[in-house]
Amino acid sequence: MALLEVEHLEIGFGGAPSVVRDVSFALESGASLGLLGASGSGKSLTALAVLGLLPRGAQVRGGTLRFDGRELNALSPEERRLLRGGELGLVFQEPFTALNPLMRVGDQIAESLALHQGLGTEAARRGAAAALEQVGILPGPERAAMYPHQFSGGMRQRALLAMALACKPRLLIADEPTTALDATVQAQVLGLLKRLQSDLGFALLIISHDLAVIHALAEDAVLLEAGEVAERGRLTEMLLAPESGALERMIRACRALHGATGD
Amino acid sequence: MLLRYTLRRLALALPLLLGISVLTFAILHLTPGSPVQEEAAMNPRFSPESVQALRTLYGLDDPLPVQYLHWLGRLVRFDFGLSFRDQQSVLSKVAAALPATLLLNALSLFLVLAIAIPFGVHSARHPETRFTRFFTGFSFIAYCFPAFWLALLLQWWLAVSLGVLPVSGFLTPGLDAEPAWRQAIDIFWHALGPLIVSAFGAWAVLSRYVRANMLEVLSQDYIRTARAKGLPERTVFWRHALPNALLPVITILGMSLPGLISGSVLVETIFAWPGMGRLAWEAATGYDYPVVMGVSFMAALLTILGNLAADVAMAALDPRIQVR
Amino acid sequence: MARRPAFWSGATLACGLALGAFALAALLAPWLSPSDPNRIDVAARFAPPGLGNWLGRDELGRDVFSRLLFGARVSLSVGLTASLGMAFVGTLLGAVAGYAGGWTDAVLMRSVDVLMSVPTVFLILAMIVVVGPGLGNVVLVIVATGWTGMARLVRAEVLSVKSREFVWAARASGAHPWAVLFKHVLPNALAPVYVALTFGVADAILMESGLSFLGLGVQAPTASWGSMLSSGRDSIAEAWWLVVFPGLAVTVVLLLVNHLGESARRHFDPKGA
Repeated sequence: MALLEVEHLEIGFGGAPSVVRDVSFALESGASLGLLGASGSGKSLTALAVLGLLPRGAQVRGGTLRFDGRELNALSPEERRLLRGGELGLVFQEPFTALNPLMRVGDQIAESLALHQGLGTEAARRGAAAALEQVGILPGPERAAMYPHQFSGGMRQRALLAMALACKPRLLIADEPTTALDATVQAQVLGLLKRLQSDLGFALLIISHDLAVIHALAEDAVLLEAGEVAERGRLTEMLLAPESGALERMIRACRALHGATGD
Repeated sequence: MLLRYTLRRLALALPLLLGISVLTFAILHLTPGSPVQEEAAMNPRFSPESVQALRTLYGLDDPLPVQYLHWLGRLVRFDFGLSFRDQQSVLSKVAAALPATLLLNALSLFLVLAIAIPFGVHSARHPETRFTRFFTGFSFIAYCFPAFWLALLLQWWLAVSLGVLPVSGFLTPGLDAEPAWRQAIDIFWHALGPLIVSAFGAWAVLSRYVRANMLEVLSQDYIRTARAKGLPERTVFWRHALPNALLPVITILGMSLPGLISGSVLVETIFAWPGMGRLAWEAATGYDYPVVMGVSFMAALLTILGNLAADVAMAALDPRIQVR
Repeated sequence: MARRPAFWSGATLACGLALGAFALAALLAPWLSPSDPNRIDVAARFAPPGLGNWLGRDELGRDVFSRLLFGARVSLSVGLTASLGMAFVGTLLGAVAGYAGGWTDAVLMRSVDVLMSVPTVFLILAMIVVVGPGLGNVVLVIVATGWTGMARLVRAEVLSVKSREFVWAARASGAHPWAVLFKHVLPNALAPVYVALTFGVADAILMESGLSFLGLGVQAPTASWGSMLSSGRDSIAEAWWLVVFPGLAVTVVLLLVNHLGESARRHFDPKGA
C-alpha cells in the first residue's frame, strides 16, 4: 500500500466543466514523484485537494484520496486539519508573500511545533532555531528572532521549507518551490531539498512546470495536460521516448533554456 | 531608538509649521480684500479701530520680509493678537475652546473604532450574508449623508420632539455648583448628539476601509500558509489575519484627523458645542481675522501632532519600518 | 487577466440618467419652476405641501420647489466647475512635479503637505473671510484648497509611467520635455484623475452647501440648498418640509455622484482603491 494514493480525482468549479479529470497516481513512502505540467494544467489544484485547501468555489467531484490507507475526504475537518503541517507538509512557490510580515520567522515555525508536537514555548523556540539551522540558515536563534523582510528570497524559501519540515512530515508536497528565485539560488534550494529528503526520509511530491527541477528531485513523473494525465513512468524513459505532444514541447522548451537535455 | 525616531519626525514637522506660518501670512497679506491691504482703510466692513489695530499688529509699515518675521515671532509664542470682536486674547479663546473639541473628537474616534472594526471585519469574513449586504449598502448611504442635515434632523427628532437629548450647549445652566461627576454626566448627555453625528459619517468610511483591508489580507499567501500548517481557523484569523488588517488603520486614523477636526465646525455650530469649530464659524461670520488665523493654526498644529503620533505608533508596531 | 468591468452597467446607468435629469431640470429651471423662487408672498407663509405648492412654502412664502430647482443650479454648477478646477490645477502641478523631479518636485510637494496639514474647512473659512462670500469666491476657495489630493495622485502615476519604455523612446528621439510630458506621459497617467474628478464633484457640492448653510457661501436671496436648510432650521417644528426637502436633494445628488465615482474607480483604477 502506497503512502499516498490518488485515484480518478476530479475537481471542478461551480457549474463549469471539471478542470481536473481522472487523475491517478501513487507515491510510496520515502520515494519521490514529479507532477509535471504547464501552468493551468491542474497540478496545483491536485496538491490543494490532497491537503483539503481547495479555494472557495472548487470542489472534489469524484475519485478518492488516500493517505496511509485513510480516505482523506471521509475524515472530519478537524482530523484533516491536524494532518496538515504535521504528517502532510506543503511548501508553496511565493517566498515573498508566504510568510506573515508581522511575525518573527522563528515564531511562525514554533507555532507549528507547538500545535503538532505539543511543545511548550521554550522548547518550540529551540526547535524552530534548530529547524532553521537544518536548512542552512545560521545562526539559528538569531535568525529566528528576525522578521521575514530581513531575509532574502532564497532564505525565505528555505525558511518555508524549515517550517514545513519542522514537524517531520511523512509526505512533503513542494509546489513550484524555486520558480520565484534566480538560477543560482534555485540550484541551492534544490540541492538542499534533495539532501533533506535523504536525511529525513520523507516522501516527496514535487510539482513544477520545469523539467529540470523535476529531474533533479524525482525519478518517476506524471505529466498533466489540461487536467488529465498525458503520460507517466520513469522520467528518463519518458524523456528518451516521449509519447505525448505536451512532453515533446516541454523537452524542446527545456533544451532551449538549459542547453542539452537533462543528463 | 523609538525616541530618536520620534524626535526626527518632530524635526521634520518643523518645516511644515514654517510653511503654515507662511501660508497664513500670505493669505492675510496677499489676498485682495484682506484687511491689511491699503484698501481696507476704505472698506466699510472694518471699523477704523480694527484697521489701526491690524496695522500695529502686523507692522504694516515695515517691508514685507520684516513683517513676516514679526508674524513668525508671534506665532512661536502663540500670540495671535486680540480678537476684533471683544479684544480678548485670541490664544485664550482658542485655549478655552480646545478641550471641548478634543473631548468630542476623542469620544467620536473611540466610538467609531468600536463599531467600525467589528462591522468591517465581520462583513469581510462573511461576505454573502444578508446582514453584510444590508450593511454595505447602508454604510454607502451613511457615507453620502451630509453631516449637517443629519445633525438638524437628529436635533429636531431627539431633542425637540422627543426631549430625550439636550438640544444644544455643553452644560445645563445652573449645574456649576454640582459635584464633578454630576457635571461629567451632564456634559456627556450634551455630547451625545454631536457625537452620533460626527461618528456616523466616520463610521461609514472606516468600516468600508476595514472591510476592504480584511478582504485583501484574507486573500494573501501567508494566510494560505497558516492554514497549510494546520492551524485552527480561529488562530489564523486572530493571529495572522487581524493584525495585518488592522495595522494600516492606524495610518488611516492619522489621515482622518483633519476630517474629524474639520467636521466639528458644522456639528459644533448646530449643537452650540463650545469647541474650536464653533469658534471658527463665529469668527468667520464676524470677520474676526485674528481668531480665524489663530484657530486655523492650532488646528494645523493638532493635525501635524496627530499624524506624528500615528507615524510613531506605526513605527513601533510594524517591524518593516526602519527605526534606526 | 480580468476584463475591466463595463462602465455603463445597471445601477451606474441609472445613476447617470438620474443625474442627467437633475442637470436638465437645473438647466431648465427658469421654465420649469412654477413660480419665481424669490417672490415673497407673506400670505402663503409656511403653506404645507399641497396642490398649489408642490413642496410647500417657506417663512417668506417663497415656493420651495422653485427654490429647489434654482438651488440645483447653484449646487451642480459649483460642483462641476470646482471639480474641474481642482482637476486642472492638481493634474498640471502634479504632473510637473512628478516629471521634473528635483527642486520643482520638492517645492511643490512640500506646499501640498503644508496645505494638507490645515484641516480643509478651517482653511476654507480663513480664505472666505478674506475674499468674502459669494458663488464665485466659493468655487475659487474650493479649488485653492482642494487641488492637493489630485496633485499627489497624478504625481504618483506620472512617476510610474515615466519609467516605462515608450517614454524612454520618446525622450531618446529628442522630443522636448514638455511634449513628452503632455503627449506621452500624461495621457497614460489620467486613470485616477477621472475617478477623483467624479468624487470631486460630490465633495464640492457638499462643501458649497455647508458653506451656504453657515452663511458664508451663496448669499441671500439666491436659493441654495444649504442656505435653505439654514433658514428653514428655525421653523422646523412647524414646517418640516423646509428641512427635509433641501437635505434630501443634497443627499440624493451625493448618492448618485458617489456611486458614479465608485463605478469609475472600479473601471479606471481598480488597483488604486
